[in-house]
Parts: sequence; C-alpha cells; structure tokens
Amino acid sequence: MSDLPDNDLLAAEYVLGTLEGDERREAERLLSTDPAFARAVAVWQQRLTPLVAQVAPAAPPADLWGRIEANILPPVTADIVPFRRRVRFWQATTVAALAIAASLAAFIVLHEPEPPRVAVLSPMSGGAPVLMATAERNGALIVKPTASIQVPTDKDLELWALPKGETKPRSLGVFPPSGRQLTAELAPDTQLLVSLEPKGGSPTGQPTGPVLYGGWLTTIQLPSG
Amino acid sequence: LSHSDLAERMGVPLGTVKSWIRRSLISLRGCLAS
Repeated sequence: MSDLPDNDLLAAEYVLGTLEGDERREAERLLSTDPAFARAVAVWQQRLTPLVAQVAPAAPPADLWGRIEANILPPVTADIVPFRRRVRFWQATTVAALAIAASLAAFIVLHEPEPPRVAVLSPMSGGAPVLMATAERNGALIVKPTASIQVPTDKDLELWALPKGETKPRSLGVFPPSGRQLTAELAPDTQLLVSLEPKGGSPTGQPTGPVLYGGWLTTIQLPSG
Repeated sequence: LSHSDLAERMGVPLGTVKSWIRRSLISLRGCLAS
C-alpha cells in the first residue's frame, strides 16, 4: 500500500507540514500503523532538512507580536479581562508545548543516529547551486546535479576535497554531468570543489583546469542529535 | 502553513497549490533520488 507513489507524496507533504483535515489525520494514522510510511517520512525528513538549512533566517516583522496578541486576545470588557488573558495564555502555551513535544517524539522515533552531511555546490562566479553532494555513513559520496550542466565532449568534471586549512586538494574522482556515487572519507570541515579537466581526469593529481563549482560540507544538526 | 493557508496567501485556488506542491515534490524526489 504505502509503496504507491501517492503515499510517498503524502509522507512528503506531512514532513512539509502542509496537510490539514482528513489528509493530516490519515498521515498520522499511517505513521503509527504503517512502518513503510514511517520510513518514507524519515527519508523525506532527510531530504528536506538540508534544504531548510540553506534558507537564510528571516526576522519576523516588528509588529508581529502585536498582531498575534490582537488575534488571541479578544476585545473584552469588565474586570474578568486579566483572568481571561491568563487562561488564553496558558491555553496557547499548552497547545504549543504539546506540538513541540509531538515533533520531538516523532524525531526521536524516526531520525537516524548519525546526522547527514551534505554540500551544496554553486558556481564560483556566483549564482544558483548546480550540484548536491551527500556523504553517507558507509563512506559513499553521492553527487547529484540540481541543474543541467554542460561539459565539452573532450572534458570531464573532477571532484576535489580540500579540508579546512590545507592548500592541496585531494582528487575524489571524475563524474559525468548526470552525477555519480563516489567513495570518500571526508573530514568535517571540508570544501568540495569541481574543476574542468581533460578526459579521464587531471594528469598531474592537482586541478589543471578552471575550478567551476564549490561548496562546504555541512553536518546537518538534527534536534535530537 | 497548510495548503489552504498557502492558497489564501497567494490568492490561488486550493487545488492549484496542492498540484504545485505535488509536482515540486516529485521533481525534488527525482533530483535527490540515490
């Protein structure tokens, strides 16, 4: 049942938090009864969490708290106001605390012990990211394009690891514009770089062509890790 | 934000928001599949 694409998308929307009503209840029911669905939710959390980390934090508008208060505190009269305010405050606090507790419980149950490590590689000249690299626990490094990459037919893309503080990058191998799984043991603070090299890779062991893309390997901190 | 929050905020029908999100997720899944 849950290996149907529809349920996988339901899991994705559940992680996004956009579900409501019957759909949300259905997702919650599946989460507690269907292990395959719970796995799909865990996979989507892994996929979406790195993307959240790429979004710059935004400060809420200065008048937001005032608007929240205006929404949760109805205009009331007489001297029951302070009491009613306190009740509303504790009602809101309880709801918020329950929501946080439920999210934490879901994370603790679902999340894998090791935090994932990802790098988003953008053109050195600036612009939108074109590659995503995911370092797995078993030493696999999966390189995937997020945009179409054009490479001349007589050239290859070569991936390099440059740990923080070092000057000579280490080759991790060549890969096609469609992506590839490579193998690499990577230190935590490592920059990944991509250079354009002759077919088969750099003949010297160091980059010889232009460095096209780069990005830092980031450990995604999950709340319970 | 829920589907209907997004629809209201962006001023488009609920069905449109749902299909945008589904299509984006399908494309994201294809792009991140390993």
